[in-house]
Amino acid sequence: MTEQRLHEILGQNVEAPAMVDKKLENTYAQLQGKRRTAKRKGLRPVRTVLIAAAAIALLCGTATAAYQIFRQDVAVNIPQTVQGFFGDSRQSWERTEIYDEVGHLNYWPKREVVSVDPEQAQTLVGDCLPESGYQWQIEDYTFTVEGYLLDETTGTGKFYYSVEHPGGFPEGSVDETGCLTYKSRISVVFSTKSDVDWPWISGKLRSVDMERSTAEKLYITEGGASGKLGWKAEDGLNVKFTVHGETDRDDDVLSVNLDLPGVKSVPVITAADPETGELAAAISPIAVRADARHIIEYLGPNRERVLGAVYYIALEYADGANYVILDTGLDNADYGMYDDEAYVVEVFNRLVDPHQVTAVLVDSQRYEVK
Amino acid sequence: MEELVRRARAGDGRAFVELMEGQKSTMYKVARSYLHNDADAADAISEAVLACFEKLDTLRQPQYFRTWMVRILIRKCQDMLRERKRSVPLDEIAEAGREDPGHARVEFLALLDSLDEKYRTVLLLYYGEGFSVGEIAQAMGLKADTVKTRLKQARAGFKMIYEAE
Repeated sequence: MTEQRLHEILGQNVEAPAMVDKKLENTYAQLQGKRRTAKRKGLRPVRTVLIAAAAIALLCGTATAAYQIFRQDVAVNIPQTVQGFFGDSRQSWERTEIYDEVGHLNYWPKREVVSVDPEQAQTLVGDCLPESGYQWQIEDYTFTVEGYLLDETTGTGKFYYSVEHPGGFPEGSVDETGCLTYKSRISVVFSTKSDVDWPWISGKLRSVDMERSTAEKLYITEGGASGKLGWKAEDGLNVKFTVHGETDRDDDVLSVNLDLPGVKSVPVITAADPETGELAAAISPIAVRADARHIIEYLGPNRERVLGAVYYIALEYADGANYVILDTGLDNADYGMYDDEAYVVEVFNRLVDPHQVTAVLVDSQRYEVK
Repeated sequence: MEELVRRARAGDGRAFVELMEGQKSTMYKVARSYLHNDADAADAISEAVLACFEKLDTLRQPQYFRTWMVRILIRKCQDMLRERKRSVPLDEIAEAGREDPGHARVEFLALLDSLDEKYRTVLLLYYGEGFSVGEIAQAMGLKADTVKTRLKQARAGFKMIYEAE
């Protein structure tokens, strides 16, 4: 194989298979006719301004042709918010294998949920929550960020928000595991306002609060990680709220960029490698970031770096109990990833008191917390 | 392409579709260099297109669209590999039997399969897509020296095969 031949084969135009075209067709159908900024009849996303509800009513009464989106403070029920973040109002499930409508085998590892003590939550994270909820009225959608917690040490976040829509949401918006699906046509993307290369603090699972949600109002918990450190919780967040349209009419869909204020980063406890003094693990109430460099292999004379996989992650507590985050057939994280430094990052699906953690286990590695 | 990016950012949905369709071959090739079947590649591409649409505002310089898009796609592929595999195609062989893959795709996939996994994407982006070392480093989240090392080692491997032939 010569370099020239490599160039010829790799450089040729390869037609994607029919299934890629079909999938893209569905994706474009979701986006078709959608404008990337809200320009419907003068509707424009502008820099958000925090004003009182009474002032909103006054402005609406004297509105010009330009309709503006305002953020308003809303009171939130802290115990319910905490329950939404950490508690057992989300669905648990056993290890499951189901064939979907196109014949794919979907596999879910086991997921466990546990109850949360609201007083303990208040003690651990109370002063890291924003002062209120934040709500926007975007056409006939009411989007409320009920609360968020940020951990700049592990590069993670947890978000609890609600979307209300008169008439409800499309069929299939919530799947068998109690998670929001793409069929809901709703997308919410959080990113830090810090000036970093990769600002998104994104996750995968969007768990629906089954106790609190109704047909017309869904409460959703999401955990995310950025994979890069260096951003600051105090800088605040951008959140992009998008509703994908079901028709190709220009006025059928919307995407808006919204602002959230900065908060205090959650407290963290760290464990150091006793031999090197390097950080081995950082544990907060919402996430862990632990050294997974044992899965790195160095191959060849130039020690080329190759990553393997982590198979087991757990926290051990002072009372002898444990929280198994990852194991064969089990996944008790809202989100997990390896960051750029080959540390494994896991966003918990429950509240953790870091002061009670005595050790972090990553495969056969054991990091004692002193 | 920069004009399409500008139009897409301004809200032109058709420009966005045209932009992504123009990159479809690249996206498929990159996705297949990470993922081992067309179904997973289709999922990753679809998710990357959605992410590109949502995040297009954050692309500061339209001339770097390809690198930016490939980076998003690679992240999606890595997420799929990282997620303890949630979906397995039921019968990909039967699906492939219903369409003629074409000589180019067969040849491309055969070559990809023959390449060492750690060199695969670097080689594709360098020789196939014309990315510079710096662009590959940015897209894959690697250091430039690592990219250069991988290219050098891959070339050394080809030389041995070529001389043996």
